[in-house]
Amino acid sequence: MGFELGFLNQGLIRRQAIGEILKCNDRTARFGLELTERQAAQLVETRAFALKTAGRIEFGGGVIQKLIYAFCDSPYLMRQNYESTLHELVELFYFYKNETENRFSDDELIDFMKKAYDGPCAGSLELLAGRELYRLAENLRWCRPADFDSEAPDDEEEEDDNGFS
Amino acid sequence: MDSLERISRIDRSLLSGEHYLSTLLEQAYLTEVLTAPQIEAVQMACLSVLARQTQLYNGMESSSVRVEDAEEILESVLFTIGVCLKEYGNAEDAALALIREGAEALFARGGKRIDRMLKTTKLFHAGLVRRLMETPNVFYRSTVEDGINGFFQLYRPQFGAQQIHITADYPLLHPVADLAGIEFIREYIERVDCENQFCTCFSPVTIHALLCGLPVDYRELPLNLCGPVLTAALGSVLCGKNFYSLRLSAEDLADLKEKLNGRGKSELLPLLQAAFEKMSLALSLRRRTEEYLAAALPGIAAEIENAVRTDTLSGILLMTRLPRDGYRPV
Repeated sequence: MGFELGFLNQGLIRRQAIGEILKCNDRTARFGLELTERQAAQLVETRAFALKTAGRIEFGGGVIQKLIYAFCDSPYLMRQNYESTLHELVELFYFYKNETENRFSDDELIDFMKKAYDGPCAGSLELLAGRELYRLAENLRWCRPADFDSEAPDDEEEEDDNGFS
Repeated sequence: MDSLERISRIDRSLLSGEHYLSTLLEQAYLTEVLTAPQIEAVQMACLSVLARQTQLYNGMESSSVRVEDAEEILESVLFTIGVCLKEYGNAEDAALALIREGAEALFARGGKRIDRMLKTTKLFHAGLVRRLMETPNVFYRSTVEDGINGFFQLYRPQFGAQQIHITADYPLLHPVADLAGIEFIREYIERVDCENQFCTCFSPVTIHALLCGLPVDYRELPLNLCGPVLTAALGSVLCGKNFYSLRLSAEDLADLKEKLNGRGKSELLPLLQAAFEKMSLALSLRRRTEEYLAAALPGIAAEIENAVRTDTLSGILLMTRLPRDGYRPV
């Protein structure tokens, strides 16, 4: 027999995922963003590695597809940094999905990442990872609101300085 | 010529009842009904169904799922498609349906079929429980009533169609093999119904007295009740006695041993079959019950042959013994 009959064989899952990721090009092409088959395959490998450590599995385009659709209209995403940014975003997603104890749905976390990336991070993945997402996970651990900023000046101190009673 | 049946290149007897789709694909490949690219296309289509099911499993909140959960859901998807494919009388047609109709459509139809089976099995079960034979054996009612009810409460065909959930402790005369999910439960209940129909032809006291002849306390053991009753009834017919009483004395066994001595299984079987026919006519058994019980005759013939040779007939043809405390109705 020239092929495996196992349904969960990685080759089939990989091919299915690559096919669905390449379909995203239909939507992202108008932003000048496209992935080749090789690039899609590498993204699938990045995802598989991230999932493996968590003992999880994903089928089809999954989170990669969601990230592509969410970020494709970002003003900070260009042809030159498209592939590398997606790799980073995939790794960040799974890392912080774990760090936030799976309390956010995929869409909620991706939504947060996109808003932060386009907003306060101004396209910086370092700020996204090291500040915005880090703060989100820390706030969750300390049972604080998701948007709580421990470095922001205290309102009560301001009032004292201004002498308001 | 009674019927014109299309010859299938796939031998249905080689297909597993529990893993129907996987074995169908294997046989389809070996018999060249489907090509390798076609089988791969089927597998990809099944993965698409799996992808959607895992999303539903996570409440559409997460695309990823634990590997163990994915394996369970995949088994459920394959089982559900298999249930639909079993509707095709011709296995080759079933294989071709995978290409013509696609995994998605077959999965939807399989799901509906499972739902229908679940509903009808629940009704059937409710009827069986109402006519369940009275016995102090704890496993009989606890399995047939409580155990099966437990299955109905736990069964989630959307993600675990192949699950049985319960251990079905009460052993049948012919155990159910190579089935899963609702198919297993349905078949189990139908076989219990056959055994129950037969056993309720005898009074509970008579059956209790017979089973008290066992060297162990049958009330606390997971053992099949129908087998000894059937064997004793057949023994009574062979001895020319009233089989309703299930009562055989030491003299009866001695006479029987003499009568059957030297006869091999091939000679004993027709005797048993004749005895069974006489009995089932008198009991007005349903055809399904008749066929079910008749399937046990070769085994009983072999047991009797061996018992006659080793002078241990009393081990399989029990002599009734009512204990001192009598029989307490359940």
